Amino acid sequence: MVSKLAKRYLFDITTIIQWSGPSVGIVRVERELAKRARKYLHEEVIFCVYSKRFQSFFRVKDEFVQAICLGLQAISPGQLNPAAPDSQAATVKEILAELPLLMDAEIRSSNKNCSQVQEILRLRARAHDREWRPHRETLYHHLLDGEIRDLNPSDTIISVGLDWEYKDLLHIGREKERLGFHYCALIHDLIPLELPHFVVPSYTFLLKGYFGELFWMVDKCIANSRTTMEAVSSHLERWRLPQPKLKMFHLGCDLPAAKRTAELPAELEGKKFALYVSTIEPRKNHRIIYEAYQHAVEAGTLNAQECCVVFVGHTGWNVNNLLDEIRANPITRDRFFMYEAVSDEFLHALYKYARMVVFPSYYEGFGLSLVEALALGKACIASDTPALVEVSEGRASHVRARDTISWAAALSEYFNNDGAVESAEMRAASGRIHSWEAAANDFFQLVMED
Amino acid sequence: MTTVLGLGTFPIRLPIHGGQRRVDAFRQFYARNGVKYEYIAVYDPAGYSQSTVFKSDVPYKPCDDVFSKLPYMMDVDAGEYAARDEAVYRHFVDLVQNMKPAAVQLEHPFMWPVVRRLQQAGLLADVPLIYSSHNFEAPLKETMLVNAGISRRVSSDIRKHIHQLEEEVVSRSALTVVVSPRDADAYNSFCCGGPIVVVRNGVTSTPPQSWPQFNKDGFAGKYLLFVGSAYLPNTQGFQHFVLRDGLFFLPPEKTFAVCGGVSEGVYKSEAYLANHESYSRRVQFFPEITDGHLAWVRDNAHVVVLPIKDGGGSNLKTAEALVSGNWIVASKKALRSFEEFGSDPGVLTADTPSQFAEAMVYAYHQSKLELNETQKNRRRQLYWENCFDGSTLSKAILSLLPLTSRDLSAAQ
Repeated sequence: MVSKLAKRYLFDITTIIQWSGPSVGIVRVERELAKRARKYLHEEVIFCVYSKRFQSFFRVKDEFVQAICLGLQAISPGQLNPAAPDSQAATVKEILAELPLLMDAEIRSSNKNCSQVQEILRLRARAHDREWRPHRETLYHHLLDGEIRDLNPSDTIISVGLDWEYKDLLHIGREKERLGFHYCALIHDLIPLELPHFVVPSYTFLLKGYFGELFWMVDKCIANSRTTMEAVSSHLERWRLPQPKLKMFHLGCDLPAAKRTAELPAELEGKKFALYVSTIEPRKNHRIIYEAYQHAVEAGTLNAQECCVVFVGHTGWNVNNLLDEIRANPITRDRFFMYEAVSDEFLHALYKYARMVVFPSYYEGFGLSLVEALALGKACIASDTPALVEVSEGRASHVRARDTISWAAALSEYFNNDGAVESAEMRAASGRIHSWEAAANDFFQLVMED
Repeated sequence: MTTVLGLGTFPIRLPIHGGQRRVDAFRQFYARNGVKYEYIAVYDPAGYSQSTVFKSDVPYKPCDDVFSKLPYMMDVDAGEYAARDEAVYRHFVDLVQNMKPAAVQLEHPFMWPVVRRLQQAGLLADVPLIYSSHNFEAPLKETMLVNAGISRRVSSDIRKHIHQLEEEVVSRSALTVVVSPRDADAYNSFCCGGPIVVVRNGVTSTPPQSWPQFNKDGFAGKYLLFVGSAYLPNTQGFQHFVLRDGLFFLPPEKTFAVCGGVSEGVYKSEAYLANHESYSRRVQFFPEITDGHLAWVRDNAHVVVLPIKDGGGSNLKTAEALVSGNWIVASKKALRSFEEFGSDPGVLTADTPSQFAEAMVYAYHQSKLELNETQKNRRRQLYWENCFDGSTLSKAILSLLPLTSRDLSAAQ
């Protein structure tokens, strides 16, 4: 009699286990969902990490999961993927150690008198389609509970993090074929495929490769918005790729409560400011805010003495010229302020005192900081890219991403007109606050659906 | 027996790449007409081993200060070497004196300097020159140099030099044979010379030889095929049209065969190496493949891709793909001189990499192409013998050559 294997969900926390910094972007999504996975998946969930070096999943000890979600416990990338021996002697030794696993009957018989390394390499080349890995070592760490060696058709791996960085999807795909487990992935956007010019060039190939493999092995894709889901659907259709189950949910928007609100820095005191919370990179379109501000000041619709702009976020790629311009331009150099790696308290203070929040991005899969700002009841101006229109649900003003004049007009209106800001704040506060609790409920229901 | 002396810059003892096959087809054409075609090459010893050359072929050594330092200029420099190096020039003098050719035929224009010197020495008096063009070389070479990072000024100077060379050869030739009407138009714009005849590239009828190793290498179902020599535009075309949008529309199993000398260039390209592990599951390279195996692989392919971006002439691989009767995804350039097949069933043409990718996806998901007998017969006209014998070449060439009755009876 064959006993039915117990259903298991393997929630992958490879991204957050290596991250002890602020909770932003995909890290935030993985942390918020991981925190709540036990509540929705009960005893069927186990937490795991993937090591590319060992090409294997390792179980994370339950007692450390919450601490990892809070960024209090971490494994360094070097600990998760220790460097492999790379000397020629070590490589040859590894190949020799692995040969009996590689050789099929034919190769084995032709290898009777084989002693030359070249011959071994030739044999290895002939066995190219076999799984090849160095002799088995394993990963020891006090947060981990050993390698998961019993993946089976009752298992579903849930991946919501930076798979393209931390996973070997080719290997996972082969293991999936062999062992029959299921793979469920959260899709944040398809920017590398649809708008590759907005991606760091060296990253484009990596991400193309990631999606290229993912769509051949994934069983269920859960998109973070209808916009992303439609983009995935249209990509699969265009390339006639296999159709996984395709679902969508919305991310949560409640920011963690700050213990206290920090003071505003002196340069912002008594000033009205527009806030943009986002990595500074071309896709985020910071330039339009710079140009619209300058246009409004030159047109006399904005008083530069009392109106400022604040950018909060990491400085990304291909924006140095813009930042140099902002710092050199007499109109903007004392009125644009940039803060990086800010504390939750400082961010709360900025949100609290901001006259408005702007989000002029060319393209988003979701637009987390827009919904966070709306949840705080802030007056928001966002671009009209489909995901932002979708997630704002009519509670933000939308301006075309490339329309400098309209951005200048919208900024001027919100800087100058108290009534307009009040009305926008009421509109922002009028909608529901989609909490992370609700988002997790939606997400895990979709995970569990057949 | 009447002999024609052919001169070129690659050997044809083992005809593999397109140029070699065309010269070999010319040799067979002459044989069918009772003429002996003695072809001698100044070849690149780095590219051809001893077993692939004849005794009379001459290994090239760098000669000209400028040409020898630029990439893809070996052929241009080889002509200079043959004319300027006294020992090599003597070799050609001896050949001419012993052979007493009824005509001299240049394969490509590059060996013109040595023929010019032989003419000036009076060794080829009354011997007509036949120019067998494979491409309109001047613009092609300029594109190759620019793509290789050579400055536009230098590339342009080289184009002018080769243009002058081609113009001189055409004007001195009693007959020019070209591969496409477009090349004929280009040469017709030169001042003078003999008639110009178009003989497009064709297909060698090779019996397919079953190849179980191909299936052992992982090919179990439909696959796409690209065949190309190491000629740089082949690699560049593949990168441009095929790799730009990637190969992830194919399942992660062997579904793309790349055959011939182009393999190395494709494998080493940035676009391939960037996703090398994923692509290795889908692509298998066959850098060295016998004609029989290649014929079998081509016959069994589902789609043949012809991603030609640069280059003139007519693509021999296009003719082979057409004769195979499989789905074809071709750039517009790849169909040059085969334009009448552009609207044939199963032939998909693309102007851009995106269109090319969409056509590959479409063709891959179709069922095997079925052609009717009429369509198949039309494509059989592309066999070499039909390309040569069906053209006006026989009449034009034979009017130049003093054939003996013995030659004619040999031909029959």
